[in-house]
Amino acid sequence: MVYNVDMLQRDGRTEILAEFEQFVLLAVLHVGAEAYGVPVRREIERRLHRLVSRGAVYVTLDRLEAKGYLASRFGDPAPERGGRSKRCYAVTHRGHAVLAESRRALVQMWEGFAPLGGEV
Amino acid sequence: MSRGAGPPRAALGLLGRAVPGRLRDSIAGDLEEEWREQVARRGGWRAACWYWRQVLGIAGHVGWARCLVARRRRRDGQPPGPVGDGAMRVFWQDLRYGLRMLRRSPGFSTAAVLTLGLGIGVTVAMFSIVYGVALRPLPYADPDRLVVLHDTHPERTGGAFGSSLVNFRDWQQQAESFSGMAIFAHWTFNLTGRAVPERILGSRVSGEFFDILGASPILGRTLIAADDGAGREFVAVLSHGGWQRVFGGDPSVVGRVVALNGQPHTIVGVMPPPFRFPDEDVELWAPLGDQLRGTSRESRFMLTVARLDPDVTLESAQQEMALISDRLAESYPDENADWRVGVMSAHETIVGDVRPVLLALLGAVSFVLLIACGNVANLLLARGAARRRESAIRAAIGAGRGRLVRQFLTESLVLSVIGTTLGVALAWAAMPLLLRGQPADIPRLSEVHIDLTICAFAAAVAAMTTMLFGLLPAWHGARTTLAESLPAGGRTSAGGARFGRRLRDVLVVVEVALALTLLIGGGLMLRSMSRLLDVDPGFDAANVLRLSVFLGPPNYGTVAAQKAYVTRALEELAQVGGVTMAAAVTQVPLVDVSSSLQFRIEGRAVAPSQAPAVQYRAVSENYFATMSIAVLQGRGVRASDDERSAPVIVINQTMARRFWPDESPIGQRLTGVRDSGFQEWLTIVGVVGDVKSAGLHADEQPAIYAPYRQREFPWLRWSSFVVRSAASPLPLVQNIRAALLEVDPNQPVYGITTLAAVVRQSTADRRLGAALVSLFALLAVILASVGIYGVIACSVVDRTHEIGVRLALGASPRNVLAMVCRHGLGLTALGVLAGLGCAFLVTRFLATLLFGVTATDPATFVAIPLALFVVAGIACYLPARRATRVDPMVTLRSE
Repeated sequence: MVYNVDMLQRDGRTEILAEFEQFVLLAVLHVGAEAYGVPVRREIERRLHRLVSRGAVYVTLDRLEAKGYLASRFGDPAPERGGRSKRCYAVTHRGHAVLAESRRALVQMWEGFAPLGGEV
Repeated sequence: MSRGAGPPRAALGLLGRAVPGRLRDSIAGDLEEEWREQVARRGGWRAACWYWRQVLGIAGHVGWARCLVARRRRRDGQPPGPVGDGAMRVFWQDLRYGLRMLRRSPGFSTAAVLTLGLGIGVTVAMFSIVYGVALRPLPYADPDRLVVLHDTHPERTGGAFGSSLVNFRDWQQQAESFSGMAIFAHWTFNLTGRAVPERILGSRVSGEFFDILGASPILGRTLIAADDGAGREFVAVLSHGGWQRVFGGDPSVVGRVVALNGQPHTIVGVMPPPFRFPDEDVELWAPLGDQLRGTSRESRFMLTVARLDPDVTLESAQQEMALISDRLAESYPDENADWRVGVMSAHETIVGDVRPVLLALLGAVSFVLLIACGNVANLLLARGAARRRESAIRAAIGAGRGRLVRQFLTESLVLSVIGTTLGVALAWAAMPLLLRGQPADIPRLSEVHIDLTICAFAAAVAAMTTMLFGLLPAWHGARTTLAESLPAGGRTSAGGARFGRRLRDVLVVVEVALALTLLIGGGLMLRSMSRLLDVDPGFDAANVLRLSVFLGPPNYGTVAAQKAYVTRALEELAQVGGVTMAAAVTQVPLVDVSSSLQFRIEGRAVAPSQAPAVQYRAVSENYFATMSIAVLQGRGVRASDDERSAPVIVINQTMARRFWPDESPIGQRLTGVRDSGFQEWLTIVGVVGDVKSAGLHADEQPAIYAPYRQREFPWLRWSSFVVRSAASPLPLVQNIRAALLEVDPNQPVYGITTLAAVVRQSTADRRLGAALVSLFALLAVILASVGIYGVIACSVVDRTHEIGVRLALGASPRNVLAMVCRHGLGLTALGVLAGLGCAFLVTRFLATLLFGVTATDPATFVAIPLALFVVAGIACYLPARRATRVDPMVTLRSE
């Protein structure tokens, strides 16, 4: 699983997100206002062309919220959801910052290898 | 499962328990939203399965994430922290505790996991076979509504007959219970025009066949009604097996034209692997067309499959068909008097015969599982005794009884989950071995595999076994009080411990009873097997080879051409070096179904519909000598019995006894009734010994042998040859095959086996049943003797002090040995008594599987308990001997 690679801010530096955490944060950004579990998972599947387990998405959303990278609010209850509300997520400022930092780290590591992977 | 309009409630409940409260509602809402889409797209049942899968996946993820968090906290030196909330937290705590306890006593854990794994493994393997063969719905659209119609006659033995094409047309017009009806017949095709001619088993089907079964092809198309008309282009559809075997899975096979029985057929489609109607062997389907033009109302060799209308039950369809058969009997009394139409579910028709055997085996295997559970319960009880202090202290500092039971049960659950995993792995590994041993005539074996249903069954078994072996020790462990468990004079006090011992004794008695029941079942089947193998088939199978040809059009469209082929083939076969004798026969005993002939005896009046039926075969002159069938009276068939001589027949002993009990049948004459093809009088010239033709267990029916040269036998088309050689005939196969290809290089030869293999194969299913039950019985005895050993060893440890005192007071080691063995053998005796009662009740279900022994065979019922006593004696002797070595000084000093 991907989410155990979790580099905490042990020595004061900003965390670098694990791959799947980045996917989830980016999917929340892509989906926009209505980013709850179902569209977030579908966005990842649509963009990556692979199946993603619901459990992994929920566990990651919850953990990202606990770390302060996501904030959630409840939508209105809907009958097609058995009268339950959606938990809609939005990326916080810290979330934006950690995403940017993770991307920077990745690009730095890839520097010089562009021909291998094509466009970074 | 779900009731009403929501997702499955139990799954929802599980989700509620598995995920933290703050996420519960939003995840449940998300899942319900997607579940509704699934319902709309795939229907309720599949959507429910989907929902369960998602809930289990999410629960697994959440649980795994919790473990990781806990591990990281441990690594970082933080307290474990609350995981989950309420009931779930307690569960995770118990789970961690249980795992620690199991790690701490590896001996106990290994024994328990192995025992459970073995029990669950054999159960899951057996269940997969039973499920795949007898329970899984047939792989056709809406399989519950598929039925097979067949004729039955109150006086004809053999149960169900086929139906005739002419009657079928009437059914089709008159019956209203069905949305469609198709008729088909097994058909042999010779595929020629290739390097090696090939015989293909297939089916001629009416145009509605594929529509009724509701199947789609993987390549091309199926047959449609338009293909079935007279004068159409010949087409054929391949089964997946036929496509692979004959055409090497060639993807461009559709559109290819092949010569089948001399006629060019275009292959229009290939069916998927599970589509194998009516049986496993079929490799090709071709339209009936006008192949059976002019067939009589009495040729009942075809089968009818129909689809019930949605609102019609099997019973009402049966009633309607009864009315129709009455009507047809009235209109055509000669052909249809007394014939009835039976309606049977297609599933029942295909698997009905093997179901009793499989269910008996499943019953046997569940006994093994029960014994394994008994053993694990015993282990847990013994360990519970050692842990009484622990639970008493926990109770004393405030753990309620329910809490303690829960903790013990969680530990059992851990054991059972590990045991089940091991069991499923064992079953998965053992399955190919089990399937390899299965006789070829068990239907649907290729559909057997371990899938989600099987895993769900394994999970259910695991839950049940946890309850079975875990509840009793948990309940017992939780009732201990602190005062009881504290040392009294250096030993644990009597009450609780004695109760625990008694429980263990009871478990051993139950185990012995179960093992004895299985042993008696296995013993009966083995005895019946050996009786069956002792049966004289009436012929000498040693050094005889059997092979068959299908003599179809265009080269062998007439009986004269078929006769000519057989005559030439016999000449060629006799020339092959090493062959001492060769003969032809239309139906080989134990392989082919005999054709039957209704006849009347000269001078005895009988109504045509009441005429008796006999099996009849056409044979060549050497047949009785080649098969070593004794000629008891008169003579056998001679080469001079040909078209020009007076028609003669040879009958078997059963026929002679039944129809001429007080006189010699030689010289008597009989003839066939109506359009049986026999108009002339046939004179009986000889009586030969009976031959087991329908199975070693079956009683021989009256039979007639007629010289093949003499008459126009339509059955000559399916001719077989039996070839006797001085030594093993197998090295001669090449030459024999070459000799037949010499007669006609375009004529496929098939079914080449030794007659000894034929005899062996005829008992394969019974042999397998006997072997499996004996295997299970052996496992049961091993497990039960381990149980006896464990209980006696425990009691020796518990009673060390008492034994020490006895020895100190002058008891001899022999007395101690006897005392300990008495305990074990006493339990065995109780178990044997209970087991005898149980076996008496259970073995009657085996009665149909037995041959030559009764279900209450006294020898088996006496010998097996004695053998069990011997085994139990050994299991008791080992710990008892240890008891005699107790040093009184050591035990007394330790106080």
